[in-house]
Amino acid sequence: MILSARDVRKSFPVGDEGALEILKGVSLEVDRPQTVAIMGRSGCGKSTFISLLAGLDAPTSGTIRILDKELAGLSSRELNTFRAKHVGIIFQQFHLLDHLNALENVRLPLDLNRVVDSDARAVAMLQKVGLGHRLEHFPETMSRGEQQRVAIARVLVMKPEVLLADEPTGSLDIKTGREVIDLIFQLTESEKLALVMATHDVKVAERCERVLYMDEGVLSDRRPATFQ
Amino acid sequence: MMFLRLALRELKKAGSKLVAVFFILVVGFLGPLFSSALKSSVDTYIGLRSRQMLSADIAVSSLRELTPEEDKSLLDLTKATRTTNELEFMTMARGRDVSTLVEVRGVAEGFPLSGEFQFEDKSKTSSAAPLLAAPIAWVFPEALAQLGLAVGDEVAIGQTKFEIAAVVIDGPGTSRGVGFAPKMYIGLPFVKMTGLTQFGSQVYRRKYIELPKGMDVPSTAAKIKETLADPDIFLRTPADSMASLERFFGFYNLYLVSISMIVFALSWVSAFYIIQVFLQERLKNAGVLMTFGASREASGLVSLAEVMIVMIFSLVVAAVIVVGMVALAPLAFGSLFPIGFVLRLGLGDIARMFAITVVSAIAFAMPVSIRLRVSTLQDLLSETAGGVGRMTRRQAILSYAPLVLVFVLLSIWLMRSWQQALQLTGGVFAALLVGWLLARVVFRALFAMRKNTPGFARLVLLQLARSRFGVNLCFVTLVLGTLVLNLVPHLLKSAVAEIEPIQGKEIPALFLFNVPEAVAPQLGSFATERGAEIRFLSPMILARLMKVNGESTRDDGFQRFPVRLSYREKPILSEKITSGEAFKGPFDPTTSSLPEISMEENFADRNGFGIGDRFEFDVQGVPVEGRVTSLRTVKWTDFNPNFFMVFQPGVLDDAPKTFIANVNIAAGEQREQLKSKFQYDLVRDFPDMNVIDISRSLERAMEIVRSILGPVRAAAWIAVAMTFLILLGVIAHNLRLRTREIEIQKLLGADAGLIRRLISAEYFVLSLVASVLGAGFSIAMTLIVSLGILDLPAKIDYGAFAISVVLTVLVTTAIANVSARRVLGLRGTTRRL
Repeated sequence: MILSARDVRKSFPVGDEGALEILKGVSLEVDRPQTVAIMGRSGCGKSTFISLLAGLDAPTSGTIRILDKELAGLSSRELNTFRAKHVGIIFQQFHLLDHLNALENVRLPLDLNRVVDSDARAVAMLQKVGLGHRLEHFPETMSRGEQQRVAIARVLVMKPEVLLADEPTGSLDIKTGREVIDLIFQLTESEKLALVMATHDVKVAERCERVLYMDEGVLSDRRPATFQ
Repeated sequence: MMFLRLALRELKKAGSKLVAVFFILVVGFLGPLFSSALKSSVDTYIGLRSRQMLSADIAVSSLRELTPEEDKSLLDLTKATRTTNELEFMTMARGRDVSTLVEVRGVAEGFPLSGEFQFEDKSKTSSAAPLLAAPIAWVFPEALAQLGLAVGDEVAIGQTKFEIAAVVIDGPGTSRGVGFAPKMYIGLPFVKMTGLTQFGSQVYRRKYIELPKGMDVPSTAAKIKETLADPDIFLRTPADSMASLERFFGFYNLYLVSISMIVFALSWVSAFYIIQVFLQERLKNAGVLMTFGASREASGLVSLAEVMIVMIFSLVVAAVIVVGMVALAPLAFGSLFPIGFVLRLGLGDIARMFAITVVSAIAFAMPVSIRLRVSTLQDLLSETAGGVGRMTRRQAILSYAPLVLVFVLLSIWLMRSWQQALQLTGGVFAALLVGWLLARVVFRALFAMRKNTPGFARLVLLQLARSRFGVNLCFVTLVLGTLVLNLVPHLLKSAVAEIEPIQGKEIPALFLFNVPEAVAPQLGSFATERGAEIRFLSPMILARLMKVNGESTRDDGFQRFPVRLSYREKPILSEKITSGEAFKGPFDPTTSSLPEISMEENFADRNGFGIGDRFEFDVQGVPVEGRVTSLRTVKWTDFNPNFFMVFQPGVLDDAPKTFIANVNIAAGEQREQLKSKFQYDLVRDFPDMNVIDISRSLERAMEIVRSILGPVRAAAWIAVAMTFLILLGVIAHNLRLRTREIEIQKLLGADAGLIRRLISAEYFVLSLVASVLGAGFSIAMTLIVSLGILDLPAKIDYGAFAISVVLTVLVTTAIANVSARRVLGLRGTTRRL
């Protein structure tokens, strides 16, 4: 099993005693490299679920296993190492380090994990995402589409088995968004990755092998009535 | 290594965002580094010069010859390898037609045992042999100036004339003199020829002793004191000879360190705030590192490395500036430095500051490290990373405590006293806290005022009332800055007020002392014949205070030093009885059991004496008793013959005594000439008598005060300049943080001029309130320090008050205006939004 989430709940404290339940027993299984879209309106809990799958936060209850490793059983340090090697995350906001150029940003995870030949691998990955000519450029001098490409290259350079994407085109215009999505699908296929992507774009979702719907903290493969 | 590289890249990118903090840190480092340089330079100087200053290991002085037994036990106790002798006395030296008081040092063969004479022509010698071969004198330049003589001229001391052979600017040996008379060295064999050392003259006989190598000086001195238990025998060691110098530098050190640490605290708080904002913004980067496998600790290390690099770089720049300052200091204040004193910033000073810097960097990075530890990765990656990871109160205390510790350690090291360091730390942090609380109160009040305030002013009040950390910090900086700016002028005015009334007032021309009893009756006519008038001719009797209310004063030290008593019928002009009653005429043993004593009020206060206390004196072997019946204030600055203890007449009239008196010469063109002639004739006719030229002494005292005030004022002004520089950094940083808000205001229709006026008005109000409060505090502190601690009349410098408020408001508003122009001039609105 590549990824499994069972009865995952997540609530946040509100006020002194109350709690707001964002996820109400969500389950998901991905047993082979495939593409999964999670659709839903803003605030329905998609991003929270993605962050739990990535181990960025811990569920209130339920279990999450990636490559048969239960995330809750890992220490903070082990989780960091595990995530770096096996899970790639693409954020809506890219999270590039603005003081590093494109090459340095992509090389960063390789250096952090003491991967040899980091320079060559980072250059190759940037060429793969079509930015071989902008290696020395800093984020602020790039378009948003290019920045997201750098972010994707930075994720994929570690050769993860699982790719999680949270609204990867949310801050891009339609044309650039389409190019970025094309790139993600192309790389997912060529690298044989499992992709779980939160999106509210129907066209993007339709390109995935599975489409799931998140509504009021519940995940289902049936489209809810309220869903437009 | 990779984390260091990351830190360096992040800092390089941050560039202008960190200019303010770098600037503020450099300013903060300057004071402690300079104080440290001064402190270690003084330590080095004292260590090197103390034995040289005394010219021996131990000096034993007495007003009488040591008995052969005392001499023998002295040599036995010290196992002296070498000794030499010296006589010291005060007398009037005569030039061609002018005379002046000098301290004569008659030195014997072998003098000095260590140290050397330094002459005006830069030559040096470690032997006084030429003085023993002929009647020549080595004279300090002040004496030559007063006598109008030069090398090669003759100077008369008593009955002998000496040729001035050289001008000494630094000479070895200790002295009992009070230091107002310049020194003159002659050979011991010629002292007797002066005729000034007969029986009854006040001459100190001194023996300088060199101890065998390795023999402990303090314990040997203690043994001598124990063996020669005569209060008339005084001992000095090299450490004692430097005590006054240490006290002098101790005063400066305390003052400099206090001011430096206030500026340091301001800079540290400001830098801490800016660094926290910077590191908070960088929390997201730490989150990114963690998503790629970096541990929390490693991500935290990047923050620590960044702080460390900024602080060390600032320290290096500050050290370079201080090296320049210490090189220039002798040009500005060289006259205050003792000969041979070298002010320098040593590697040790820098190393200590480096250690403090490293600990500070850890303290600065601590809050963010704790936030990093208590935040989830998702929080770190969120859009508002600045608000994540709220610390508990315990964690907050834990994160800020190291900063306070750094401050205390630095203060202890610079002040050499943990009590003073704790007082300073307490004072500074209390001031910061009070300033902070005041800021909250003031801003709340301003917020409440907004309702009835029209458009533009309302916007200004709203801006201020947000009471953000940065605004509060500006407020506290301004309050403390104006406090420093005001406190020094107020305190100086209070201190100088003691001397000021003398200036411009008719003061006596001369002060006579050591007037022999036999000469006293002739003085009146002697003066009248020369157009002068003798006033307040007062008897002076040397005595020892043996008992107070039946209890021995041995432990209080009174028996070690003679007290000077007098008697008079009623208080003179400069005295006023404040409690008790005036004398009821001369003492009559048939009607009173004890003679009456009038005591000076401050003397009584200092020693815990009061009306009704019974005193027993030893007046040259005769016991005399008395009771305090009145307390009186004395205006010492009137230069009249005043005493701490005055008996009623009829008690001490027959005791051996000398007289002191004032000489008054009417003001006019002839005054200086008459004074000079009177002085010269007096010394010629009565060589035993000593005269002090009061106006010249006063001028010299004022010169000393002025030379001391120079660096004191300079330090205060530098501190104020530093405060403004810190303020510049804080305001620039605050406005940079408001870039987005300013852009929104522009989008909403405000033009650049309006925004600039708004910001200027905001800081105008802020600086006006803060400076008035700061100046107000300084007045309160002046009253407390002057009246409560220094016992000086509190004088408020209202000019300084007004200037400081106007200056603070103008400078702050100008800084805000310039910073606003800079922010408004930035390109790329959409990117910042």
